[in-house]
Amino acid sequence: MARTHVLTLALLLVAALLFTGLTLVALHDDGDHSRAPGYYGPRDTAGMKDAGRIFYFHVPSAASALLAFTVTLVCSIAFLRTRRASFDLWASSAAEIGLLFSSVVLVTGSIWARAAWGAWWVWDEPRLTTSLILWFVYFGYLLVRAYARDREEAARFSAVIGIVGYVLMPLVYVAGNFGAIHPRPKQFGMDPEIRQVFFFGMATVPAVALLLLWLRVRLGRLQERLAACREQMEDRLP
Amino acid sequence: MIDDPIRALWYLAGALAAIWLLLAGYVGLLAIRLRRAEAELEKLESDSRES
Repeated sequence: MARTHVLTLALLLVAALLFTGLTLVALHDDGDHSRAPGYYGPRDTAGMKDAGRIFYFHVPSAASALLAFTVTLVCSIAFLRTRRASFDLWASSAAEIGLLFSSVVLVTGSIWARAAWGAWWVWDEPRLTTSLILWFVYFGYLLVRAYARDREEAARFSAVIGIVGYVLMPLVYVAGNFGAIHPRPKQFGMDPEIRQVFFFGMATVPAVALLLLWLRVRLGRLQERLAACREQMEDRLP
Repeated sequence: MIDDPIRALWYLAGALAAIWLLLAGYVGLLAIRLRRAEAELEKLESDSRES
């Protein structure tokens, strides 16, 4: 087996182990059923029972998406300044990973909403609506790349979307303060046991996101080498 | 608020299944694309050396 295959498998294994670890920790039952594990809203609205544990995956996935989109922002700015292809590769790879974790956020949030509010989606809730718009912006980012005329155009247009789209990020965060029902961040009011699992998730899920980002960049580099190799072969043809 | 603990458990199971499906699906696709690109690159490089 090639060395690169071993490295890829090792990275995938580490990512799988980290996420399995979080799943096991989040599902751990200490036998105390008097409180709602994982729910970090005001205590009087607790009572989510096991559905409250969705929170251990939902919030760290949102943090991972934020991290990935920040990488896209920084690399997009760097690309527009330097025009170096490697910045474009990092920006687009991070956008893909960010979109993946945004999807996790939307799906888990929707299931949690059904359990907590009795509805899969509430359009009046600014946090939900801005999160969905953010998802569409980065989906558009990838569509622009897929349908651009050439690589240079794809890189330029998507870099602009990567920068402008990031404006939504603080809006998503602030929107949480204007909603009526979405829980507001009160992490320092969490029970110590809940906080432990929460911060374990906050370390694990972004670590998985970074491992996936690394793998995605490796794929991008391989594809670049492949394209260069193909061009070389075509040039040699009589 | 959920009164039924079994229903709460189903919501959790559904969310976990969705997370694992999304992540495993993406990782699976990534692994397939990596493997294909590596195999194609090796083939092209060996063809290039031969010619």
